[in-house]
Amino acid sequence: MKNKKSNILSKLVVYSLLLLGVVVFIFPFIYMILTTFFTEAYQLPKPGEVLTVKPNLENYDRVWNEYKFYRYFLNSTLVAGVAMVGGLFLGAMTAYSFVRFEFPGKEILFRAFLFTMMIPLVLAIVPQFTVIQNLGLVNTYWGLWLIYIGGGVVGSTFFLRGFFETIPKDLEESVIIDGGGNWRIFWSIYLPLSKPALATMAIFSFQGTWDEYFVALTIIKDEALRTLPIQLMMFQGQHASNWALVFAASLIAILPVVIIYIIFQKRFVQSGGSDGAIKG
Amino acid sequence: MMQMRQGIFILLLILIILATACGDQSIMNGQDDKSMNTNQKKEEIIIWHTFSEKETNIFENYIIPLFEKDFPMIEVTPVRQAYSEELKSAIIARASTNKPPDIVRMDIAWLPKFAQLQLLYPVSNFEDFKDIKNRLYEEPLASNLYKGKYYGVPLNTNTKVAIYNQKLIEKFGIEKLPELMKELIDIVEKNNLVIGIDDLSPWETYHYFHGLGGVLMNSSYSKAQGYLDSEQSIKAVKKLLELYKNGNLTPKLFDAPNTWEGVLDRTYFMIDEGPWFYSVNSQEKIDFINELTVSSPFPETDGKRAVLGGENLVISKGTKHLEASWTFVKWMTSEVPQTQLARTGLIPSNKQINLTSFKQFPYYQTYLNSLDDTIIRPPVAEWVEIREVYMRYFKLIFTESISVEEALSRAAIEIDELLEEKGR
Repeated sequence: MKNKKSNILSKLVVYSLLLLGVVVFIFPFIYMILTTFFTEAYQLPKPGEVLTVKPNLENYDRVWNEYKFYRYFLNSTLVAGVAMVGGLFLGAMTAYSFVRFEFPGKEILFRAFLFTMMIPLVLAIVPQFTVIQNLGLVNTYWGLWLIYIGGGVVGSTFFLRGFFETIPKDLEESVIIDGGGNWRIFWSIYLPLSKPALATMAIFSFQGTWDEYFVALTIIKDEALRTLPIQLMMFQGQHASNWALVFAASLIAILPVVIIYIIFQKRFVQSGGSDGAIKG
Repeated sequence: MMQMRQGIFILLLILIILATACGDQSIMNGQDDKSMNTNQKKEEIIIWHTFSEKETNIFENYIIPLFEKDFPMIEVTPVRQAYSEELKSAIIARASTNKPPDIVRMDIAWLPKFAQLQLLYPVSNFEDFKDIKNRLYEEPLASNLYKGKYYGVPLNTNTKVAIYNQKLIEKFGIEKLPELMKELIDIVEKNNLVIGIDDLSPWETYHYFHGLGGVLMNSSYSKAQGYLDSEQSIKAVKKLLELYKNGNLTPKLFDAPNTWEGVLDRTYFMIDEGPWFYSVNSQEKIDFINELTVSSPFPETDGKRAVLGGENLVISKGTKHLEASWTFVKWMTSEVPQTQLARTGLIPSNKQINLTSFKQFPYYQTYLNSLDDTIIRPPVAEWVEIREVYMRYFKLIFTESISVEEALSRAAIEIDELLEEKGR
């Protein structure tokens, strides 16, 4: 009985701490949502005002319709969607080649890949822009995709190579016996067994391009082609910002990332599917 | 396995559909895309600006059509951008590859950097530049000067003025608003009042530092040692710190000072702010603010008041439409567009504009009265880095992590290194 009591007590403490943690982490988010209910908020409202504000969707309506956020939303979905799928697919193939093929300069090439990840974007923007301009792709999404997918391939290759290396080589033998080649091994063994890693990478990749501001700002000129982050920044004035609109726009902008996370989060923590695939 | 195959197939399909869907980029091409204009005879100039929404409306719907009516052979394409550090890098990247916008409306603090990188066309090379010089306020015009040449013209200007809470003035029987910094300090100390500032950036504190006797650099902006670490500068910062410790400078400095609300609800006796303190609001709110506050030029020290702000119009060196761009830039400083801009609450850079008719903005006069006595932030290309040094050491001082003497001495050394490294 005593044991049970102390058990309940420790659970109570643990749950209280967890609840406190949840409150601490979620508070800024709630504050942000409540701020969007104000008509004007050039200075952040005080806690007392925040708690008495009447909920309404006026600012969301303004952001979506008056400021044409639907258009930039569509633009961003297109840009981030293609960049995610393209980067992931090419990255997986590149990672496969690093894991399963031996070729001269393999490690040097891989290190060169890693090196490009360490160059700050601000330094790379001028040469990148020069390349895009010479290809005649300034102010087009093809220019953006070239940079996003190019950068995405490097990231996914680095991430997936490690994952692919944990897949036992013996699994391939069954494919080889059946007459399958590398494509079949990649398609039927590596990709299915790497679902958790691919899902994780998909989230990172989507979020990365969905939030990307600097490259899009430099490459895209026409207002109609702009992506969400550029338009989101428009709400922030040089001297004063209406935080009610800024937060409403931000909340709309993070929605897809949250949805993507909810879809893929189950796969996030899973380990590979190859455990027990081979008899000892 | 089958499911996975289907999944990947669907993903690939999406990729192909999305990619082919943008073959003609139909989603992306706006109906208002001016590049589609087939009228070949017109010369198109592109201007990047960071006007607010209200200002953009006037600029794009009233001012540009007026110009195009006067100059039918020039077509102006405005592109609104958000004000950010990234914008600066984006303009540099575009200018470096000869793909810049023809004209940029640029923060006066950015100009020296662009001039140093030789990305701007020196407009003082135009013969008729001297003709328009006379119509402009002197200090804003001087913000375009870099190594003896003018790299732009001021489009709109601003500075900060002191905004006092009316009720507190009455409560403490203050008959005359402080004209000098010394008088302001006496009033707040005597009556235990609070001055509100937003943070420790030079924009917020430089005029207090200067007003209390501090000096950042020599007059040719080439040296900080001997100035920033001088006795008078140490004394000035010590006084600021003392005000902060005594609660005369906002105690919420590292929290959320909320100066705009604070001066209305009597938390602060005084704040200093630009014209946007009024102009972003509705007329009703402006009237409400005017009831609760009273404005006056920022207290003076040695003939100087608050920091100069504003925007200049500059022409990219890489422009292919130099004459057309200059025509537009010149025209923007003339009476008609300047008066239109003033309708949005921006302070014109043309001193001939009569603002007495703007009854809805009674605060205009206070700002205009302050314009001749502004402090110019050092017009050096390294200003962004110097600003960081200034803020870092001021933070260390105000958190009392380091002594005033040591902080200013180290800051002066770092600033001199920055100035030496890159050269002016």
